Amino acid sequence: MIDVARESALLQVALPSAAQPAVIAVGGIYFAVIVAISIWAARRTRTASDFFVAGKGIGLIALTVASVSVSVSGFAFIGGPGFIYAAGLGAMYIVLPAAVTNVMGAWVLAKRMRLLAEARGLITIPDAIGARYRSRGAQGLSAVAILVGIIGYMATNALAMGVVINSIFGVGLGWGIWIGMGVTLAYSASGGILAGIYNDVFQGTLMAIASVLVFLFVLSFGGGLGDISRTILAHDPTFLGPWGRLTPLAALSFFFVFSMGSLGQPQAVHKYYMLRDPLQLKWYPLLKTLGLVLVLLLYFGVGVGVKAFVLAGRLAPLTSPDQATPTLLLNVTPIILAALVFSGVAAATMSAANSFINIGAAIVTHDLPIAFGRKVSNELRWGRIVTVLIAVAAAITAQRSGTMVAFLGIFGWGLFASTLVPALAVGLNWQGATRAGAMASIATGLIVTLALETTAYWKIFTFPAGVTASAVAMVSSFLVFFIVSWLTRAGAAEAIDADVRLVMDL
Amino acid sequence: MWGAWLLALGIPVALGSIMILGAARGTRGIGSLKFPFAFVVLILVIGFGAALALPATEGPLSKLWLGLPARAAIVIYGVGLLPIIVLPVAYAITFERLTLSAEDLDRVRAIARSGRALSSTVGSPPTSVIAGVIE
Repeated sequence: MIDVARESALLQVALPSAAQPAVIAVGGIYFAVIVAISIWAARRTRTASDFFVAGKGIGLIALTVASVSVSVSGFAFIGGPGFIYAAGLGAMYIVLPAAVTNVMGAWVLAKRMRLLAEARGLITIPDAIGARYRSRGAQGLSAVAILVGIIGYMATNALAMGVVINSIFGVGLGWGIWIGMGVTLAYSASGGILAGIYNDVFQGTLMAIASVLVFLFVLSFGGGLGDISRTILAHDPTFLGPWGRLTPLAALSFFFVFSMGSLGQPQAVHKYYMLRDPLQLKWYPLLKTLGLVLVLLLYFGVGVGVKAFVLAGRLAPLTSPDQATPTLLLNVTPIILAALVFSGVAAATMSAANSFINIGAAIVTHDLPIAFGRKVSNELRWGRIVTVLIAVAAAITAQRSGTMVAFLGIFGWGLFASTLVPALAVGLNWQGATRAGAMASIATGLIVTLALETTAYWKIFTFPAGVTASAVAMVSSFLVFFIVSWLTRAGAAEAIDADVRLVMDL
Repeated sequence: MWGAWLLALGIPVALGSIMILGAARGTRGIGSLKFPFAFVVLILVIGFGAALALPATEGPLSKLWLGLPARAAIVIYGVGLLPIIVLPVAYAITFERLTLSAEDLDRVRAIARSGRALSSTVGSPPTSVIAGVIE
């Protein structure tokens, strides 16, 4: 059976060198565009609201493309196709929930969070939890949970940036980390989320174009999906079974975590605050879902296509599954397409890193002081300072901690899911939820996720049949949330402020 | 195997439940959204159920459906693509009626104006001040 934990960290790889003139030229143009957008955005960032939520002034199309961009990390371009190559169609259960998650998020969270921003001027996710439960403690605890998850994600993305930039420019992993983080930091600290959003628009567009072109190329090279499937079925029919090489429990467990868990991913949920006109939410799920489908075509196409090409002897066997995308790009596709995809991977990692840096800075300068009853006098200035500190810390962690980075990256998604989904997603829709229930579930999610992922990583304990620790942690968090809310239910509805109750009733 | 069946039934029910929770407005229920929700829950149950129940007959001579063997096609096209056609479209066409109207937005903006000057430490306007706006 596939080692799910190891496969989940598939971006921790050494990519082959792609440092050819065309790749370097496209990479250079990519970075020049990033710098130009950042300078433009920095001139428009004047307040903390501009810095953290773009002054709630982003249009529908820009927000949609940006949201697609941050929802897809480099994993979708490198690790994901490798995961399919290794696990077969079972690896699709990570991305299949996208058919449901965006519209589910719109019904469950988007309207209520955007209206809370309208009513209260909220700028962070812990803000929403604090307002819902009228509790600084819940706000602070959720802020700590998000910060722990961000540490993992940031270190992983910093390392991924280093790997990709080294592959494009041949500068070495260490310099790759610092160059990637330096560029990301430059636009994060100067233009905040405004620079991030418009860079995300550029990066998301690049990712979608690269993904569609590679998918079409794979179909053309393989003679269509039917021929690709026939080749695989002749050698390895299990690969194209509905669960691939995963057990049904493992595949369905992935589906559960990546569907329900999507409601707790701060990089996506935070975007709901930024839409200029709340009524434009009408088209947001449709556009975002279509965008995600385009970006994820590469995930499916390369994973399945490379498997068929290797089985047919058209490509040499891979040294490791995560070489699927680089091997295809550097041996089969036109070099300009390879250049686009490598820049697309850099875009994906930088986009995710920027979003997490911004959310982390908001937590340190806004949520944690509020939890302790204080307020930072100049949130914009401190936001920029903390942005620099987070980026530098992530780069150092990525450079020095070796395999520990892979471990940090594994639990990020599950930690956000188990700590935030009950308290935020259910809490904003159910007036029976209580402050005690929310705090208990956040604490449960934090402790159970860290405990189970740690024991799994060090091979002390894993669940049978490939069931993921994240799924168990999320179920535990839900149970605690409902039980504690029920036990403390007296006066639950009256404990909600009138404006929050109006938002929940609408 | 019973664990997989529990998940195959439980996941669609859980997703359907949280969508209903999110779409419900006060005591007014979800209106016509019950149809797309029921459709998607059924699609997921049938998709996962078929993947579990149908025999593993994939081989070189398998009949292909849009390029994939039957069980894989059910999962990729049924579970992965069919909900895209139904749910976001249902969301868009019922948006003003069942999700958010300009009038709803005006009510929230009115309550925000009422409470802005009186926000407490977590930005909370006192209930007594803004109760009139809600009524």
